[in-house]
Amino acid sequence: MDFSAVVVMEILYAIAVLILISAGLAVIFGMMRVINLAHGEFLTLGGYAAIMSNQAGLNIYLSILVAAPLAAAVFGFLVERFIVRFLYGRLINTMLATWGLSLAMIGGFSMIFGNTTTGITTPISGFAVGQYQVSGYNLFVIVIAALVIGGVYLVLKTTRAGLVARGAMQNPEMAQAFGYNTSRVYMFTFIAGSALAGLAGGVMAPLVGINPAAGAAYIAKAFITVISGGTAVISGTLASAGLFGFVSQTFTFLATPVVGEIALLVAAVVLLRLLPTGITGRFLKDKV
Amino acid sequence: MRADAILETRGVTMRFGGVIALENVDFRLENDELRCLIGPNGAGKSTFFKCLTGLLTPSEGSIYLQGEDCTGIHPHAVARRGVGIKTQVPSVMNTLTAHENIWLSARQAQSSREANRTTQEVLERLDLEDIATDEVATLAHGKRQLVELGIVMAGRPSLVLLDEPAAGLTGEEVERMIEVIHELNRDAALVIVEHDMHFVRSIAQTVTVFHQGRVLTEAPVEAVMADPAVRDVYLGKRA
Amino acid sequence: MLRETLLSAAVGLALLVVAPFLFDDIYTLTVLTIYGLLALSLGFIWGFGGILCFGQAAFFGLGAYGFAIASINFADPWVAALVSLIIPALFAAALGAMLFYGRLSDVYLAVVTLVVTLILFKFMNSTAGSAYKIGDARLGGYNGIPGFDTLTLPWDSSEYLINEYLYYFCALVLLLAYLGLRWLLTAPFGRILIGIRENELRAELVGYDVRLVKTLAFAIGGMLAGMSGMLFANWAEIVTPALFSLSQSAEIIIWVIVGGAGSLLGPIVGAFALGALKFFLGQQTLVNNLFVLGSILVVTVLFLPRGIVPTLTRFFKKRRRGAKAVSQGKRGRSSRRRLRHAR
Repeated sequence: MDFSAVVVMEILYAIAVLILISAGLAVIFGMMRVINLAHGEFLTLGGYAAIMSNQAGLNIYLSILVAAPLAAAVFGFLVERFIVRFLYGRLINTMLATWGLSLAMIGGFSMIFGNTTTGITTPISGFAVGQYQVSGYNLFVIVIAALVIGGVYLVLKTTRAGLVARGAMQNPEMAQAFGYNTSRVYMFTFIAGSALAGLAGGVMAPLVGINPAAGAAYIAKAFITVISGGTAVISGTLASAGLFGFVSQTFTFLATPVVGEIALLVAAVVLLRLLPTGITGRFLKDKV
Repeated sequence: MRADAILETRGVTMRFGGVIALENVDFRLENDELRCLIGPNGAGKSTFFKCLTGLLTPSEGSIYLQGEDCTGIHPHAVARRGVGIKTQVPSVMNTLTAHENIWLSARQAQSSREANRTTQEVLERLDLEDIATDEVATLAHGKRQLVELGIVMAGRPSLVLLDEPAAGLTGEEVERMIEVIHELNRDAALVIVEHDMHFVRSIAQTVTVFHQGRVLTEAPVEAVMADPAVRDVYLGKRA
Repeated sequence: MLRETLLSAAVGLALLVVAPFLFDDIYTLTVLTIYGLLALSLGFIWGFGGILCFGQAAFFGLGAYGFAIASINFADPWVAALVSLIIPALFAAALGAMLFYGRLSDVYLAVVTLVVTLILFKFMNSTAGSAYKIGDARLGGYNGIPGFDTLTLPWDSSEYLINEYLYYFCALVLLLAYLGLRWLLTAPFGRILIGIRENELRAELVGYDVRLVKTLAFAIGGMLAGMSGMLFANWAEIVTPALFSLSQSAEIIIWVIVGGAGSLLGPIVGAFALGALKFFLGQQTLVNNLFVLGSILVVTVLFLPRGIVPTLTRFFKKRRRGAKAVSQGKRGRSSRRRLRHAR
């Protein structure tokens, strides 16, 4: 009983991490058909921002939940204005440019922070379920992931901004004809996606420690989750994060974490072979 | 039992989710025939065309080329059975020259030397020699249409499928297109999807009218024009 | 065409022979030619097949590992060299078949190739235990495989192919690969490949099996990348999982895009230039190497999406054509041309 509770919790945690690290990428890809390959470094940026502001004396929760997304949002604004906005509609070119950005950011981080790993301690202590020790911070991550996905859903479904964004993404000319400035919509979407990435980086920072190349650990998983999910932001991310989180955690239990990661990647390749346009490209076409 | 037709379909049905785009289409084309498919938008002509080219696989029914069941085979395999295809938008290899475009088609079933000869021949027949070495992307729409017909011709097809060949052409170019179509018809049977009734009248003997995914009627062009049922669904809308 | 090919062969040969005298660090020069071959392999499938592979490093790493493992298991390193070509070629053919018969489009192709590279990277990193052995070769995990026999002189198997010998061998392989691809592109297969890049549907509708042609091209690219991996293993005398890393894949793409994907020469030039730059950057600590490479990629995509070599050739061609048009202006042909454009 205790054991299965722990297993369920671990699986939920794996899914939550995938949701958290992919949400920003999913918003940007789903709404704008832009793949930001520097997404991992946006997370790293959020991580550094959280650690720095915490070391400067800011409250840990404010560092994670405010400073991290804010820093990434500001950076995302600059990236959108100076790079991405010239490449809309050229998917491959945005991928290449943001890959370059990713490398440049890794280089930049090493120049500023040095090639060492820094971290902050987890603010929540663990507790016991029967004879097993469970990390309280994992629960925190699950809650944040749920809040993020719920928040994105609410913004898209119920607010005017969400409606305009969805409209502008589906038919830019039409939105323009109604008097909306699509370029502004793209910009704010990109900023929102960046902020989500920063938030994820902040939340993950106490768990993993941050070094200049830390983003590489996320980008592949986030990228796979988003692409496999397809272009529907919420349902796609939920579906593929659920699937991959389950697969990788199950294999981690049965074998080792490395096997779990490899199983995740293999599952992604098989999935894309079977459903070349992602899960929502096939099954959940009309969902958000 | 009749001899095998060059093209025959039996009970071809195509569904997209819950929508029925084609229902139980029986179609037969004789060896030297030229047939136009007409009908209002959404009548199923283009879907039927795509089934014939192998770009779509019908949900039900069969397609026979010279008596052989070719249902669901890949477009390249359809082409290898002597079928020349021209899609609606000019589909050419943009940064290659007209000569290269046509040569690639000829080379598919011919040796390089033979393909050189065929290409020269096609360029002459279509009067394209003076633009043979121009990049196709730089050509006007009408010329690109001709290059694409050259691509079709170079494959020496016994059946040619054309989707709206007259779309976007000037009056003069339409006249030229009609000549080329008659020339193609000397060696091959043709199926032409077309909107423009004037154009249809000047090339076809028999037309097949599609309506709501079914074959409404199949008759000589004059009879079809006079048919009140056709007028209702199609001509009435346009007039 | 033949004259052009002979000319470029002669020029290429001359450059590669002279290079060691101009640039006396033969060790670096050797790895630059190896990078050149690697860039060429991607330049071929990307520029002429329209296939953007984000995981060309996978074949590079397989070639290197294939050589190391085979060299430990077989007595003759030349047999190992052969094995190291076959493995990546077969792997690329299998992967390509999966991609192209599955009709995966651009982005998905990029994702899958990237993921496959990551799988190999993670797998190789996790093979530290003594259970991970192929024949007598331990995979060695993060530390890789050191201490395998490198290539020997074909006529004297007691003499290793190192220093100048290795350089000239790599240079020869690069030159032959370049000429071979040039020939292939003028042969029907190459022209069909270019036709497919231009318009896949059209190529299919005239009867070419696009899936097969692309798979074959992908396999050729994989084999060439594997070949450069094999040479790299001989140069470095050790293979590590870093060969499969994402930054390795990125670097190959940067060489090709900076040099220009639309030509065969471009990628080679890109690899030499950026490889040399990396080497010089490695000698100082002020500016980070990745920072420079990444910035170069961003700037190239934004301002020179065709790459350096095609942009230059285009520029010169245009100037030449412009001069010609002026001189022929009165003779009619170019005025007719202008008329046609006006219409």
